[in-house]
Amino acid sequence: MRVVAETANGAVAEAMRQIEPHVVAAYPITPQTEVVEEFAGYVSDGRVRTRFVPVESEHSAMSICVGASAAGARVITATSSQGLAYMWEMLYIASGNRLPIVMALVNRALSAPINIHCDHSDSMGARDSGWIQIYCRDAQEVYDTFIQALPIAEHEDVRLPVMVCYDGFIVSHSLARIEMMTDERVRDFIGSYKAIYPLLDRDHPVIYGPLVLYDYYMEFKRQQAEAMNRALEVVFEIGKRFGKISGRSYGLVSSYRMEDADIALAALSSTARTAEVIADELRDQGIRAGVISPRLFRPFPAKALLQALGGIKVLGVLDRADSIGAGMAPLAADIGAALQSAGSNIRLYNRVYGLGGRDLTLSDLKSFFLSLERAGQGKEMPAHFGYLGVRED
Amino acid sequence: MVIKLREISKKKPLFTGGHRLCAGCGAAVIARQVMNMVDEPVVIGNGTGCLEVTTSIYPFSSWNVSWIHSAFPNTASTIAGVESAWRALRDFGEMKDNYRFIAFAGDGGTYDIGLQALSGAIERGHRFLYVCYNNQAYMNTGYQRSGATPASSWSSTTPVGTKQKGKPGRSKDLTAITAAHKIPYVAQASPGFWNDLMLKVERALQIDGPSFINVIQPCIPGWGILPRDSMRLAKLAVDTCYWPLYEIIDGRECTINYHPKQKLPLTEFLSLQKRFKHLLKDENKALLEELQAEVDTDWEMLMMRCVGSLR
Amino acid sequence: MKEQDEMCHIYEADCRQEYGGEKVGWRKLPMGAVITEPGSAQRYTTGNWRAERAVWLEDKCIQCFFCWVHCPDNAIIAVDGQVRGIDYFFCKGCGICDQVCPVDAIYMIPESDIEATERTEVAPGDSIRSLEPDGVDAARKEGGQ
Repeated sequence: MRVVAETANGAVAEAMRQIEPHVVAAYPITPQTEVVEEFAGYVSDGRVRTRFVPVESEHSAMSICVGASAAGARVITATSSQGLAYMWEMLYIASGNRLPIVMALVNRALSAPINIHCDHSDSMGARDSGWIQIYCRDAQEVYDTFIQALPIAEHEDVRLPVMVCYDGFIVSHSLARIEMMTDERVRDFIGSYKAIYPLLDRDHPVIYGPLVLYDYYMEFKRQQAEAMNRALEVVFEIGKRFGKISGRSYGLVSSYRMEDADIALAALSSTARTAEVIADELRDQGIRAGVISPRLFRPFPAKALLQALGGIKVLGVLDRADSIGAGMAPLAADIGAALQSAGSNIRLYNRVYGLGGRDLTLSDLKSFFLSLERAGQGKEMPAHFGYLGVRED
Repeated sequence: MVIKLREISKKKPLFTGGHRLCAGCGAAVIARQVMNMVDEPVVIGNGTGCLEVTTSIYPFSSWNVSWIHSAFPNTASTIAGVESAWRALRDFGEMKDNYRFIAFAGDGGTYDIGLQALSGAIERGHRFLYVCYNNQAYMNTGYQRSGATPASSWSSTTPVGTKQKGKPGRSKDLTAITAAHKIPYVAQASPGFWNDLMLKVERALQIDGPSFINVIQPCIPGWGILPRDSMRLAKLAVDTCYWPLYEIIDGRECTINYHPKQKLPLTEFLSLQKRFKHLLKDENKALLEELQAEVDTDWEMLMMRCVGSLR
Repeated sequence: MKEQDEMCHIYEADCRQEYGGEKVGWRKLPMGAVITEPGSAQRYTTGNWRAERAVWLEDKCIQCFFCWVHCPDNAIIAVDGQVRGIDYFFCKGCGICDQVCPVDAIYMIPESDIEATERTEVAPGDSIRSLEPDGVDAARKEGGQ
C-alpha cells in the first residue's frame, strides 16, 4: 500500500495499469483526457500489454469495446458529456449484449450550450441504458470503485457494463490523498477474466446481435432487467469484500449523521461532502441534520435508501442535472418513487443546482437546509421543485 | 489461376441455406463465394442491412462461424474490436489460433453512415477484410438513394418525376477513397466473375492488415430485375465497364483484372432494370448519354492509371 | 405457409423432438440473445417460397459447378466433388442456375406442374430438419432430395 497525491483521472489510469485489461479503446474529451493519456504512457513504456486503440470517435470507441468484449477480452474505456452522447446507441447495445465493459464517466455538462464543466446531465441521460451506474464522492472512492467495477460487471449473476461516475474537474483534476493498493492485491481482487460465449472460441462459435422479433425480444429485456436487479446484492457484496482487503468498506448508500436526524439532504458525488460541512454547522446550532448520498444509482437502491433515511421528516434532494419538463429532476424522481412505493410520509423538496459547473455556495446550501428545517416545523412551505444558485433576473 | 470449385465444394459450408434473402439475391451469392474461400478460424462482422437482418433471425443463423452484428454505422469498428481482442489475447499468451476477420456491409453502411468507422479502422491498420456488397442504394429499408447510387438512377427518395428524373449528381468513388488510405489491398469485384472474386478474397485474406473489396451486387426488388437475371447483370455490369474489375496495392499500384473483349453499350445493362428504364425513353436521351459518357471517362482514366493484365 | 410460429426453442433438445412445444421464457434463454448454434438456419426451410423449381439433368451435366457457385441458397447438392441434385428444402426457384448453366442441364418448371403428392409439401413440423452432429443434413450426404 502506498499513499500518493493524485487526481482522480490519474488514479483511474493507475487502476487501469494494475488491472491491465486486454483492450482499451477511447477517444479524448475534456475532462476525461488525462485518463487515456496517462494510460497511453504506460502502453508506450511497455508497462502494460493492453491493446490500446486510439479510435476516431466515441461511437467507434464503444463499438470496439463491444466487439472486443464479445470476442472474449476484458475491456475498459472512458468518456464524458458529448462523447457519451455520441455513443448513446452503443450503450444500449453493450448492455443488451450483456457485455461486462467498464467505463470511467467523468461527469460533464451536455451541450447546448457547450460547456466543459461538471454536471450530471451526461450520465443521467443514460440512466435507462442498462448500465450499472456508481457515483463517487472523491478520488479515493473513484480508485476503489473502479477496481470493484470489474468483479461487479463480470459477476455471473450480473454480466452488465458498469460506468463509474465522478465530477469533472472538481474530482477528476484536483489533487487528493489516495491510498493505492499493490498491483498484486488488485490482481487478486479482480481475478482472471472469465469470458462467456466468446466469439474467439473455434470449437464453440457463437452469433451475437441477431434480429430478435416480437416473439423473443421482450424475454431478453426481462432477462436483462433481472440481471440489473441482481446487481444490488452483488455491488453490496463486492463493496464488503473490498473492505476486507483495503480497510475501506463500501455499501449502496452513504450516510452521514443520519442516526438521529430530523432533516436530511441527498446528493450525489462531491456535493455530498460539501453538504456534510453544512450538516455539521447545523448540528452545532442544535438542528439534527444529516446527509445521505446514494453511491449506486442504477440499479436504484430503494431499500437501502429507505433504511438510511430512517425517521427523518423532511428530505431535500439536490440534483446536478435537470429533467427538463418533468417537474422533478432525476435523483428526486427516483427517491420520490421509492418513498411513494413504501408509503412513506417523508416530504421531499428538490433543487437543481450546479449546472455547467456553477458553484454551489455554502450559503445557498445552508439556506436550503434551513428552509427544510422550517418546513419540518410547519413554519414554511418551500416549493417542491426549484433551482439553486441561478440568477433569476 | 482457376479456383477449383469441386475441391471447395467438399468443405463444410460456412454460409448456409435457410436465410431469408430474396430469391436470386446477389448478396447471398457474394456471401457464399467469399465464405467458400475462408479457412477457419474466422469471425465475421456484419452491419445492419439486408445480409445481416435476413441471415440471423433468432434463433436461426445461416452463418456457420462466429459472427457479430452490433449496429449500422460501425461494422468496421465492431470487427476491429474483435481483432483487437484477438491481438491482445495473443500478446497476453492466452490465444494460439490464427484468426481471420471479415466484415460485410452494404453500400449504405459503407459509403455513407459507415464511412467514418471504415476510414478509422483501415487507417489504424487492423487486420480484416471488408467486403462491401454494393447494390447502390439503401435496399433493406426500401431502396432509398445512397452515396453509391449512380446518376439518374431511380430510387425511392429520388424517384423519376416530371421535374427530376432519378438521382441528380454522381456517386462517389469509394474504392478510390479506401485506396487513398494506402492500405495493402483494395479491389472491385463482381459475383458474375466468381473466379476473379474468389481469388481476390484469397489474396486479401493473406494480408496481415486491412483490405477492402467493393462488390457490385444485383438487387431483385431494388434494381427491378428478374431473379434469374441476377448473375447475368453481375456480368453485364463488368462487360459494359460500368463496374470495372481492378486491384490497387498499397494505394499506388493499380491493375485492371479484366478487359472485355468487346465493351458493350451501357444500354445492355440498363435495359434489364426498372431503376433505369426511364433512360431508354427518347425524352431522357441526354441523361443516358451523360451516364454513358461518365462510364466511358471513368474507364479511360482507369486504363491510364492502371496496368492492364489478364490473369 | 405458416412459419415457425409454434416452434419451440431449438436449443431445448426435448422440445426439438416434439414439435408443438411452447416457446420458452426468459429464464431458459441463453443470455443476451446469443445464438449458440451457428448454422442453425439449415433447419429452416425456404423451399416453400418458390413458384417454380430447378430441375437437374444428370446426363447433360458437365460438372462445371457454375450452378453451384452462383446459387444464393446453397441448394445445389455436391457430394465428393460431384453435383448430385437440387436441395428442394432450400431452393427458392430463382432460376439463376438455369440462366448460368452453359449446357442447359438445369431448367425451371412451375411448382404447380409437380404432382401434389410429389411436391415437397412442407407441414409446419417438417420445416425443422434435424442435423447430423457435424452440422450437415443426412439427406445431403446421400446426394438425394
